[in-house]
Amino acid sequence: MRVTTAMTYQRMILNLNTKTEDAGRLANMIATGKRLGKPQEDPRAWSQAMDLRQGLREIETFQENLDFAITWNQTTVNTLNSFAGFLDQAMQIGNAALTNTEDRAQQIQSVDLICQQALDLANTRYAGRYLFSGRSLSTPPFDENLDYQGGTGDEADFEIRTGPDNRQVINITGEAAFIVDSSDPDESNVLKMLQALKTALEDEDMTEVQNQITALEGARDHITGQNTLAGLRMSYFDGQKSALEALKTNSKDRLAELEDADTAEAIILMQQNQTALQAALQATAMLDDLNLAKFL
Amino acid sequence: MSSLTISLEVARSTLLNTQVQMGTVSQNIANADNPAYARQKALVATNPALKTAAGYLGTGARVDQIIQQRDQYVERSLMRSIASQSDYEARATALATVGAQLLDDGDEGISSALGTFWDAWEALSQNPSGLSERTAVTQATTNLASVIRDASSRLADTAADLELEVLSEVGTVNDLLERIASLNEAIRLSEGGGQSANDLRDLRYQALTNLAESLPISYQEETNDTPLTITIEDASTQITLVSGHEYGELGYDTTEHQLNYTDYQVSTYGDFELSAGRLNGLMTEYRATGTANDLAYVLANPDAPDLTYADRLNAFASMLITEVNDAFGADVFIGTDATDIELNSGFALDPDLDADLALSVAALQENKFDELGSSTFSGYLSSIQQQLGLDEQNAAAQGSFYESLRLQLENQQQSVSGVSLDEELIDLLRLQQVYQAAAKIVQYTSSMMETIMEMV
Repeated sequence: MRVTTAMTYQRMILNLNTKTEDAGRLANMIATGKRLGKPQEDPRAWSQAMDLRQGLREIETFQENLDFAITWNQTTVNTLNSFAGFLDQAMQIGNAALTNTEDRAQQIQSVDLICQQALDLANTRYAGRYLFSGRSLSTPPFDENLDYQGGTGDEADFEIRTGPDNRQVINITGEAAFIVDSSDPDESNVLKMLQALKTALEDEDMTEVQNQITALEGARDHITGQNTLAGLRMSYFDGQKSALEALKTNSKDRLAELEDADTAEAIILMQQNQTALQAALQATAMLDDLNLAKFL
Repeated sequence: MSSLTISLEVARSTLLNTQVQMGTVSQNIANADNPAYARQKALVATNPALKTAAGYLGTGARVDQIIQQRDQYVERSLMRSIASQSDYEARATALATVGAQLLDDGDEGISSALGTFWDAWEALSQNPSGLSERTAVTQATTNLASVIRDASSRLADTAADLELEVLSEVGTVNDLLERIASLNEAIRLSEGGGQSANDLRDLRYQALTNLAESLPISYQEETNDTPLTITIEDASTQITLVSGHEYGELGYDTTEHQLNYTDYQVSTYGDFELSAGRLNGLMTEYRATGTANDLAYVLANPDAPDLTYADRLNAFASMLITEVNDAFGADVFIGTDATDIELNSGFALDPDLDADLALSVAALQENKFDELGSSTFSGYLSSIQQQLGLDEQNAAAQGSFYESLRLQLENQQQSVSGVSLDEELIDLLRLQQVYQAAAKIVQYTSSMMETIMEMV
């Protein structure tokens, strides 16, 4: 085969171009730490990396949702604890009133204060919404007549997403927390029990005081049960958050496998490429001298 | 004495022949780096002998003709590989541009805006009365619509640029057809005396190479009876582009987005498909980029192979508009597809909004839709990127294959037609020796003639 001048130079240019292009690609890989710069370099990996990024974003969203749910339930626990404390105080005052008639006015005043504080607690707001009103937002769960007016049935549940196809209820309604028996919303309304205790004290009706103390003891157990539910939910949400953290770590590892460059390998390849490029440049210079015209 | 005169005459013609051969070598060296140039060679033929008493006496040699070293078979194969390489290189370049316009790695681009959009609705579901949450939803919705519209607009611009390229390429093809036809005529006139018009043929070869970059041509060089003919084939029809000095005109219909050709006999060919060439690459990617199909067809046939990138973006936007509006129960977006999607100007979030509505919108990100090829919104965006990457990868790989093939064939063509400086320099040495020897013959013959003259 005849080797012509144009062929020789064309081959030299092609070799130098290929090696210079490789050097540019490797330098970019080392500088950015990324293996993938464009979809064409590995379309499947690029697409998988995109899906993983979206998955990671969702995991972070679910974690934020769970953080919100944990804080919500922590607030619920704190509120119900305080509420239970008021019930204890009311029962103490009631028991004292059975034997001590001298401080009646003060006892009535204290129970009245407890009634107001208990209503405030039942209408506690968190993150811009009422803690015990279900999905309903603008209406406080208990009105001035102490009747529950928050969400019931489908409107009772406040849900968050904790997984792609998983919604969970995070709230306890005022109906569930402060009405011991939903079939008898008046008699079993804890706020109304406190109000009834106050009225019995005002009427000096010690039998009724005793009845309300007994009812409040049952209500306290009921609230403690609701508090336990909120506590269990917190613990469950915390466990879910940890599981998501493990999933997040796995996804990040997989993402790094897909798109991160092996820097050590890239540096070695770069060195090899530099050696090859130098050799190609040397060969080009030598070939330029290998010409009969130089010897004539 | 007469034989001495013959010797002088033979030496004279040798000196002249050598000068012509030296001229050919010089021309070869001058064109050593011109890939369109075919190495020339001065062919020397023996002159008729003179009959003498002793027998036939040679009368030297003459330069019979200057020929070009060409292999038409290799050159025709080379033209085909040039057309295929140009086709895939044009596709790869166009796809790289489309890829840059649609670049989406999950951190930037539509996916990122979509993720922010879902997150904003999710946050709203936890606090519908919060001003910052409501503002975030409005902002994320506006941003998502804007990012989709921008991508759609950039795709439309890219498609328009590709069509301008097609028009420009059609102009180039017509210029080349005219040039080749005029060169055919010049060659015919120049070769009337039986001599090869080598330089004109080099120019024509260059023009044919340029034409092969644009179109998948076949050509047949002229013979005694027929002129050079260039044809392209469309499935069953063979279309003659040039026949001798006659040529037609290639056209492009910007309404139908199709090529047409009117040949020199005024026969018209419309809507023909090319198999290779830069023009084919540009038209293929033009058709794969701009809006090509009705939205209803795109949504009903999400896996159809004729869907363009713009079609897919429109399907994505259309489904987003429909599903978000349905989930929210009112118009969040207005518009029909990626070209006109925007936030409804009347959209306002009520502080008393039912949190479940916001959660329903956020939960849409998990839904798979038949209209999007049974994938989620974000999965559909990933699939667009994957398809783009695969198309670009395929075009680059095919371009690289045809580049290698072209190089190999060019090497073969150059092996026959190219100039080797070493070879020319050796020829130069040989011719120098011949010239010196002929000069010596003149010198000695002259001396012998002088001797004879002195005898008188």
